[in-house]
Amino acid sequence: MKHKIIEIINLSHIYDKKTGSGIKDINLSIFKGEFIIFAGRNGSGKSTLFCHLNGLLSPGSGEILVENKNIKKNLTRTRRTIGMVFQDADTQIVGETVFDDTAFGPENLKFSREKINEKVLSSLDKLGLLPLKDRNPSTLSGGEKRKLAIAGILAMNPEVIVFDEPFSNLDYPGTLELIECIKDLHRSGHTILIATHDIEKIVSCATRLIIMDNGTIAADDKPVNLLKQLETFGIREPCASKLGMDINRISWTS
Amino acid sequence: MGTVFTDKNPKRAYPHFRTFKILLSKLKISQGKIDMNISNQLRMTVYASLFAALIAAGAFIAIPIGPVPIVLQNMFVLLAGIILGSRWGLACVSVYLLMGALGFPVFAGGTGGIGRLFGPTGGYLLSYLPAVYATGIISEKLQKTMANDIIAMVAGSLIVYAAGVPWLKYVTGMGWNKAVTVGMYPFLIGDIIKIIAAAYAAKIIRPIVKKQ
Amino acid sequence: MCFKTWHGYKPDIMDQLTSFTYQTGKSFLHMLDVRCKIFSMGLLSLSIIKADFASLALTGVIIATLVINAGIKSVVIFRDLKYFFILLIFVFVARALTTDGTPLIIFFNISMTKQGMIIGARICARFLIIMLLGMVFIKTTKPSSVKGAVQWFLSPVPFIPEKRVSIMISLFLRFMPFLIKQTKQISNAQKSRCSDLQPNPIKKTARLCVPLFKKTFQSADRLATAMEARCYSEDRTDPEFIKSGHETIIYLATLALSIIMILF
Repeated sequence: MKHKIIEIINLSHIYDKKTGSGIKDINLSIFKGEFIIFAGRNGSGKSTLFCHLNGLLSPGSGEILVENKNIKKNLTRTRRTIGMVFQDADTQIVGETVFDDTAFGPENLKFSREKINEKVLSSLDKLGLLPLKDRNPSTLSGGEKRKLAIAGILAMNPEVIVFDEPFSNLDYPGTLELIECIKDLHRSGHTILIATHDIEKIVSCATRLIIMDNGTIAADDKPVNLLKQLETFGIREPCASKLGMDINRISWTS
Repeated sequence: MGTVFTDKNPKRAYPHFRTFKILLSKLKISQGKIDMNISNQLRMTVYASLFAALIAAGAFIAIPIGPVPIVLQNMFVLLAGIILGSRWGLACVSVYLLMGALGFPVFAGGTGGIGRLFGPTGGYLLSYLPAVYATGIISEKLQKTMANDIIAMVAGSLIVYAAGVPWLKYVTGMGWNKAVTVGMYPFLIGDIIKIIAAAYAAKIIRPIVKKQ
Repeated sequence: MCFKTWHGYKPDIMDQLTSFTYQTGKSFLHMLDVRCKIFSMGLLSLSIIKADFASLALTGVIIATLVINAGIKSVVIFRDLKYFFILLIFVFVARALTTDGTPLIIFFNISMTKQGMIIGARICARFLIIMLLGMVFIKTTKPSSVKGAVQWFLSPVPFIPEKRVSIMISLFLRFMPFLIKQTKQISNAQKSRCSDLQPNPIKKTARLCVPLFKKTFQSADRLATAMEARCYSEDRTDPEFIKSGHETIIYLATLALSIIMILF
């Protein structure tokens, strides 16, 4: 039996009662080592759900358990277990150099200086940012910024890494590198959750595809079984799938 | 390069002050300032830093109008008082001046350093502290209308000149008439424009900040 | 404020703002403990108010040596301080004109006096030295260590949350380049819609500020959320200071120099 890492029970969060926007009655279990894509059109509730995982929003009703404990009990522990990479890489950079920014998380956790240096260097190394460690983050390219955001999360050693629209505003080489990087993270044992409306780039790596629509989970299965339904939920079906090619060949890197 | 020593425990330097501070922080907690405020406090910290950066950037944003271009620096100081309130406004201006004193090029003309604070225009810079505090206090006491914002900002600008002009006179050694001619009259029209524009901007920004 | 006229909107300055603060290097000053540098800079800046030409010249020579050792080019110094020089000339002329004494240069009924020029020159030299001290410091010190040192110096001061100040400095340094980029984008976008033709100065100012504020405050809000997600807490690991081993000498030299300045 696989280890259940996150459990969401009857989670609801309504922003506006009139329009009913938000998320409704989400029930979901996430197991260690999974690679899940949350697909859905803009405003389908992906980001809202992700913010709940990190305790950034409080549930209207229902609860979220991480390692069988309610996330509210210890927010710091939750945020260490679940690292979040936001859509806009620019807005999550704090430090004045690449190194300092990566050290921000571990410093908040009050690690010792030696431990911080070790963690920061190893996570920068993993993402290939080591040569840039003294650069000012505002001079980095879009892809490098995204990787820096991941490095900052990785330095806190999370088990689950959550990406919100990781491919927005990235050029082609940047996207390819990011895909490789996410695959590497998955291989090294991290559980990966990705929210995107553009699943073609990454779908072949995923072990599970969850389609969200109107604040609810509309479908939850292996990606192969859902490809043909995608377009009814406002998500573009991968090109290769339309042409009837093999699932393993449809993503950008295979 | 000499031997590298690492000072692992900078706290050692002032042990009794430390104890005092720890006691203080415990006192604060017992007064009921608990977890939920941390998120709010973080937001204010971020906004205050943003305003400090705006003040610094304001020295470079010039709008060419008439013979003297309008620089938005003091407008951002006054806006900080109105939007952030007296306490956070003061924090924001203090950080700005601290950065300048340490030598970061944040003052007009792209310079920094303690020299600027002692220099002829230092009075204007230092006066931002009482000015932002006064503006904050006045706007906290009054209702948040555009007219009241303008009153608060006018009071703030008066403080800037009340401190800046005598300082200019003292450092350069010129007479009152001259000091006022050089250090106040050319900027009055620009200040009026800025205050009205700031009051208008405050009306729009306030809901963005207050939402959280 | 008084000297606003002397610089227009210079996007180039703004671009360099982050780059021209710190120059990487391994010189004597680069390696020195940042707290020692701040202490020396502060003490010298204060005692220089009493200094006369002899000690000013001595300090000038010491600074020049350090500048050469740190590998800072003199062109850079002139470029960074050019507006400050205008300020200095202004102070000099104002002093020379208003001090009573033997007139040296006379045209019409305005006279520059010898005494005035000496006083003016002394004041200018003092300001210049203070500026140079600050500049050498900022060019040889990493922003993050400045931040750490500020935290260290503020920690014994009651009622000042030094860790929050240190975070504010980080955020300040982060927002600067961002604001500069935003302002440029907004102003370009408005220029492309002929904002130059707008005759009303109030509207002109407000139209630049409102979008700038909207955008930056939204982004600041997202930043706060991201910081929260990264376990933000004010109870953080303390900064680290690296000593080069020459600190004691520098402390003593600084003390000696300030005594010379005050006495002679």
